[in-house]
Amino acid sequence: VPAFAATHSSVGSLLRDCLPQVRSIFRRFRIPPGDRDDLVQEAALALVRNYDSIENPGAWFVGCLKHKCLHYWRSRRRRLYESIDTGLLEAVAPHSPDSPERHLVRVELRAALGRIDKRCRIMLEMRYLMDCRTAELADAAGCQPTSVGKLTSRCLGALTKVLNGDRRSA
Amino acid sequence: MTFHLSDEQLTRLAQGQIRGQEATDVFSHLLACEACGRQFEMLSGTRDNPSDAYELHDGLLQRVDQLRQQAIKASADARAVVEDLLSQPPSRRQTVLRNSEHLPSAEVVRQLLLQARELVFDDPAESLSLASLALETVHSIADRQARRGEDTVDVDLLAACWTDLANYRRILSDLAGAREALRQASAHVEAGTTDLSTEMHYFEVLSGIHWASRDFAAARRANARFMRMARDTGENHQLGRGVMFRATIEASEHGDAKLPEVIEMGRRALELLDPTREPRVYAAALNNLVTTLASDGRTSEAKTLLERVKPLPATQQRAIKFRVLWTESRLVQREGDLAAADTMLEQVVEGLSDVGQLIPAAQALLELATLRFEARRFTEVRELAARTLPVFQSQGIHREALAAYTLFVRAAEAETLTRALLTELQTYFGQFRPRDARPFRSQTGDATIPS
Repeated sequence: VPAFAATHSSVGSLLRDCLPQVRSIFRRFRIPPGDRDDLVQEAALALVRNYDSIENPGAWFVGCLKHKCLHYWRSRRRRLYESIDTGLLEAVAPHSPDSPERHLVRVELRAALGRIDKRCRIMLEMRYLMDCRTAELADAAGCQPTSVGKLTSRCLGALTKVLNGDRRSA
Repeated sequence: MTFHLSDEQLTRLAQGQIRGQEATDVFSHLLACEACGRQFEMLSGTRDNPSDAYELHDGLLQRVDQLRQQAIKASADARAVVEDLLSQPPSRRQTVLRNSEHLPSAEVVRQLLLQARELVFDDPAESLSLASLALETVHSIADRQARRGEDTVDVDLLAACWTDLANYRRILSDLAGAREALRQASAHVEAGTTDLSTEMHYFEVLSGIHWASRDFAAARRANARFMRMARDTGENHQLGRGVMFRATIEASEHGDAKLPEVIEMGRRALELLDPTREPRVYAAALNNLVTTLASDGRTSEAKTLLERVKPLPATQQRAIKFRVLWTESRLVQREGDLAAADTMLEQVVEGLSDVGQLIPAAQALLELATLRFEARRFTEVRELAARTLPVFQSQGIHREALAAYTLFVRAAEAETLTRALLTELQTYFGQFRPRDARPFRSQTGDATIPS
């Protein structure tokens, strides 16, 4: 039986001891209230699973929670950008029949792209308006094909700001 | 603009569920309407949330306690399964797991990986075999679940298996295989649920592979990430491993040029390492420090420390015992006791050959040959070379290593051996990686590989 069973009557007592740090982490990372329990639960489960190889359970739990909060935003942003990317590709798909709405998307998209920096504008114009492939995007950006995803993601971040109504600072 | 997008549409957009004509409609509006943009920001969760106080409620605590009970039970069950599995011949293990009535649990995979880690010092090939079995088990769990209509693969476990495979392949000198395994691990780490232990181990292994590839800057970066995670989680022992490895990186890159820094790191590592947790790692760290102190000319300090290494239980294991004896031979040689160094090196060569560490054995033998060569005991060098060649041949030393060694034997026989050639051969064997082995080329022109 893992050492945990012998040394702690309840995970709860450990979690309660760490509550001030937990609160501070949630404040610092601005985790939405609805997602906080899930993160605590995930970190607690990781603690239980790794208990035998952990030196300081309290510190480990807090460190693990911090790590999860950091990744929470990264993965959330990544999912959002992927959604926008897919949606935009659908909205401007070159092989679909043209329509006034599709034309409008292209016009507005061009205007929105005009509000982000030049390198990103070129990348996203090539992707959405010229139907270019990864190798062509890599050529244009002067980077490796493997870096196109990362760069596109960063550019989508800027475009999302525009979509989010933050028209001036994007 | 009179009409606005509904919250439901914006939420589906944030979740990637908008397609076709609807995507066109939604984007044509969203690109032009600031009000909907602000609402989208709110619903997609990219706007700052109010930071109200957080409380641990009873429901959560009960759930966590339940998970803990489940984890304890799963761990005990898995231990029994793995114990039974390890009693089977290696060739039958996969079949036994595949045909078992019950679906192996994720905990079985974790236990297999733990077993593999425990064996790595003594039998890295067995560790590799267990990690491969663990990986096959993850896939077999996924297959069985797929047949039941459940589509779940434990990405964290895949990441852990591939990371360990990469590590064992690196230890067994299969650098290309290690890089490939790490590439797989990286994709799973990226897609996983940010399991901290797996990520820490991933960066530690990544650092090791960069180091083995002699990309020291990348090794340092990965090592720094590993150490940052260890520091953040209060893991002093892991931090000690990180510092110890940083010392190894510096020593490999700068040779003797940064000895004081390497010594300082070695001391710091020993302060952090817990000798009861990984006795062999602690013994290795002590031994490394002795070696570095000796290289820096601090012989008496090194000898004092060596007396602390020798009685450690971990150093009683043969492979480590002969490494320590090798270190001691270098120390006594520096002190001028050549006879003692000679005797010790003889034992090291024999001991390392016996435990199958042929490349280090050859390296130690070349040290012994150098010692005798410098004492102008040429006949003994010739006899030593002739006596050991059949041993390496019969034990199946790597082809390129054998070719280089044969060159040494022939040069000794023909009395054309030089000090420079011995140094070159020692360097060659010191950097020898079986999977990436290149033929020996003498830079001094003292010899060529016999055809």
